[in-house]
Amino acid sequence: MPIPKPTRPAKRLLLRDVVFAKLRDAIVSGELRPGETINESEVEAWANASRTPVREAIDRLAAVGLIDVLPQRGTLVAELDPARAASAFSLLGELLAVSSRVVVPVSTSSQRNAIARRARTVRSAADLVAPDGVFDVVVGVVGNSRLRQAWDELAPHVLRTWAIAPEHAPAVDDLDLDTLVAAVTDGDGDRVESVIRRWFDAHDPHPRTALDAVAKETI
Amino acid sequence: MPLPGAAAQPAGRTFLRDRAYDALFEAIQTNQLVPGEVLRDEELMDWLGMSRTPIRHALIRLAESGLIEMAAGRQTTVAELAPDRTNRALFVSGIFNEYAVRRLIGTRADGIVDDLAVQRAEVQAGVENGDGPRIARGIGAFFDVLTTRVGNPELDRQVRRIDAELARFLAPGDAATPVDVEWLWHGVEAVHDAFVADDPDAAREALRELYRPTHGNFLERFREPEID
Repeated sequence: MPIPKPTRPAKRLLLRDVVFAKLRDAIVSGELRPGETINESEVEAWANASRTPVREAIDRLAAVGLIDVLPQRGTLVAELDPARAASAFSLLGELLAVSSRVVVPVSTSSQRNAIARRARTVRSAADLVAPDGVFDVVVGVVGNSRLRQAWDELAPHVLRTWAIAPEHAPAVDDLDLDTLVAAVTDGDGDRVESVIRRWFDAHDPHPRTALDAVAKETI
Repeated sequence: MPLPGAAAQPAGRTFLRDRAYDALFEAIQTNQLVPGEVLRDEELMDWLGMSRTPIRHALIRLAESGLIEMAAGRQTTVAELAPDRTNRALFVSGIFNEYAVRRLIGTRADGIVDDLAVQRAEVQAGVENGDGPRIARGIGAFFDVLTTRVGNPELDRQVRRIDAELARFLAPGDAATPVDVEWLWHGVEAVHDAFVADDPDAAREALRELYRPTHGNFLERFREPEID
C-alpha cells in the first residue's frame, strides 16, 4: 500500500484518512449532493491521491452510511435521511450528557475555560455539534477515544441534514448556555448533564420517560 | 455479521470483502489469530483465496472496531487485549445502556421484566458455575433486551459494534481484564429490580453503581483529554 512519507512526524496521517476527511466534509457541507454519483478517478484527481486510498476512504464512508456502494449502479452519495439524523442526534445527547456528568467534576480550569470561550460565539445548532463546536470541545475534554469515534460517526449525519435542509436544525435559543457555562465553571457534572439533556430532549424524536422528567426538575 | 452499510446490499449477494471480514473476525474471536500476530496481505490473500482489495477493505473495518492495529509505516497486527481499550469501550457501552434504560423505565412495556428475568437467570447460572463467557454473554443479552426495544436504528448499529468489541475483550483467557463478577451480578439484579418496581430513581442509581468502577478507572488511569 502506498503510504506517503509523513510530513509532520508528530502527527502521522494516512493518506486514506486525509481523503476520508476531505470527502466526508464535502458530503456534510452539501458540496457533494445527496444522490450524486462518485467517480473514483475524479476523486483521485480532486484529492490528489491514488486509487487505493480513495477506495479505502469510500469504503469507510459506506460503512458509516454517508455513501452507498450499489452493485450495477455505482457509488453514490447517500440520500438525505432526516430520520437517521434524528436518531443520531438523540444518541449524541446521551453520549454528551453522561460523559460530561462523569468528567466535568475533574476537568482542569483551562479545559473549563475552553468550553466557556467557545460557548460565547454560538449562533446555531451547528456551532454546538460541529468540529470545535461547544459540544465537540466537551467531547475532547472527556478524553475517551472510543467515545470520540462514536461521536465522529454520528455527528456528520446530523450536521449534513442541518446544512442541506436547515428546517431540521433545532433552535439554540432554548439552550441555557449561561447555566451550562456556570455549571462547567463550578465543575458541577450533574447540572451540566441536566442542561444538556433538557435541550436534547426538547428536540428528540425518541420517546422520553419519567426518568428524564426527574432530571429536569433538578435544575 | 451485520454491520453499518450492509443494508445497501441486495439480498442474496455477498461481497468478497464481507466474506473476508467475517473470516478474519471469526479467526480473531476464536484466537486462531492471536493478539500481536502480524497480518500480511500476501498471506491473507493465500489463506482466503482472494485479491488484495477486498482484504484491505475488511482490514480497515476491523481496525475501526479496534480488533486490529493499522498505522502508517508499521505492520498490521491483531490488537492486543488492552485494559485501556476495554475500559473505554465499557464506558461507551454503559452510555448506550443508560440511554435505553431512561427511555424504557416508566413505560411498563410488555414483556421487558420477564425478558430481563431470563437473562438475569443466565448471569446467575454463570456466576454459580464460574463460567466467565456465560456471564459476559448474559450481561450483553440482558442489556440487549433494552437497547433493541428502543427502536433507534443508530443505537442498534452502535451497540452491535461495541458488543463485538467487548465480547472479545471479556472472553476467557483475558487476564488483562479482571472482572468482578459479583459486582456485575449485583448490578444486573439492581437494574432488573428497578424495572420490576418501575422505579426510575432506582434504575438511575443502579446504573451509576454498576459503572462506578468503570468510571473510576477511566478517570484515574485511561482518560486522555484532547486539550490540557
